[in-house]
Amino acid sequence: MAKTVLVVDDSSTARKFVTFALRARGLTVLTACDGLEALEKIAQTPVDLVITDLNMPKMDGIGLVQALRSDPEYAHIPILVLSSLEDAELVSQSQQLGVQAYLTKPFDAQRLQYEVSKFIS
Amino acid sequence: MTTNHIQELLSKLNELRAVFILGQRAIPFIEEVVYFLREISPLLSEVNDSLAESTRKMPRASSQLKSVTQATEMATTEILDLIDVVLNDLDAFKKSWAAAPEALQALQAQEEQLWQPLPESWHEQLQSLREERKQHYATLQAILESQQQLVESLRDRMNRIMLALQVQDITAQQLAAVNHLIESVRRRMAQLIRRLGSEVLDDLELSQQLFAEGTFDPHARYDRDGARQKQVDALVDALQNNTPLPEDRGSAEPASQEEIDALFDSGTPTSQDEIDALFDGGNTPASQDEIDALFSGGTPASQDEIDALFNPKQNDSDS
Repeated sequence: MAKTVLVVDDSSTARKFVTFALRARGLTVLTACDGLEALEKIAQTPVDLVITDLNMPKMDGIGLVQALRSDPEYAHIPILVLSSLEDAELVSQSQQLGVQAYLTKPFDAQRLQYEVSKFIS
Repeated sequence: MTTNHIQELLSKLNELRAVFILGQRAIPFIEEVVYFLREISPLLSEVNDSLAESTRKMPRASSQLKSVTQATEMATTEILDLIDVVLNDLDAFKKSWAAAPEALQALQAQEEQLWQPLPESWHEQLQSLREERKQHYATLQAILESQQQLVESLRDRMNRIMLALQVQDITAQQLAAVNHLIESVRRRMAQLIRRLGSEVLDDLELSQQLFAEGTFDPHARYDRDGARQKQVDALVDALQNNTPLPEDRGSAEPASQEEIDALFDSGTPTSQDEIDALFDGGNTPASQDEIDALFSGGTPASQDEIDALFNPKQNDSDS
């Protein structure tokens, strides 16, 4: 059964880019525009991995990571950050919150696929 | 009335005369000031109108930038969809051709088997034809292989186009940052115009919402060599290994909201009263007539009178 990845980004094109890169690896991709929608989607469909942007309306990436990590039901889900922000503080904060990998935009598809493959075998 | 009283009265009269003399001397300067104020008044009004006009144009600029973002997003989505279609077609093509080399080999093997039962004399006669057919098979095999390589190459190029299109996402964030800046400046200018007491504020109401901060990265840039990723990887390594963090890049960054605020606030903000005082001249503004009256003072003094005021001693001796 194909593994499911949830891609969270407020940019429709960014969601498409990631979707293309992951679908090429046979993964099922769900998408959400912000943290709140992501939580709704996760509640409806179990996901194996979350890839999230940081700058988003309603609920940003850090908020989403905090929400997932504080919920025992979702705390185990691996999370990858994919953001154009490269601030040391954010990277550090993401790590402390339990983010597995931090990728910058524009991303390299192979690197993304490699990072995803580490958590989805 | 004693002599002392008279002396005192004369002294006071002299003081009063000195005041008048001073006043007369100051009149040309004051006239110049008034003339300057009259000249500058329309200029100030023009500056005020210009500010209002510029401020009014800003939403249009902002709206145009949003349109650019929407248009590029739409175009990028269309290109991505087309790439998706092309990739799917290539996949279908690759699958349908995947069996072709094997089929060709099988066909060649069958043909070889067909040759066997033929009499030896036929073999000699048909040798050249057989060689020719072998060459055709080899050519077909080479074509099939090159087709497969071409499909792979096309797939690779499509993927590269797709990834290059990420520039749209980055520029969208940059435009959003510029939009935010324009909106911030517009708000400040509208506040300034309001402070200046302009009457053209009705259509400058700040109904337009600021581009929500935190939904874009003002430092986003299209980095194709992966330098940003390397920096983040170095950061992650340093954090994981408890080693010193790499030095901050200190790139040329766009002004933050705080920096913009600081530019407009410039330390000590001017109060509304201060601005009012500057433009109104206090609570009771003088009309032009009042100013004229001050300078006209009823019957204008003659030149002799003025001269007399400035040279009292000479006048005394003349008389």
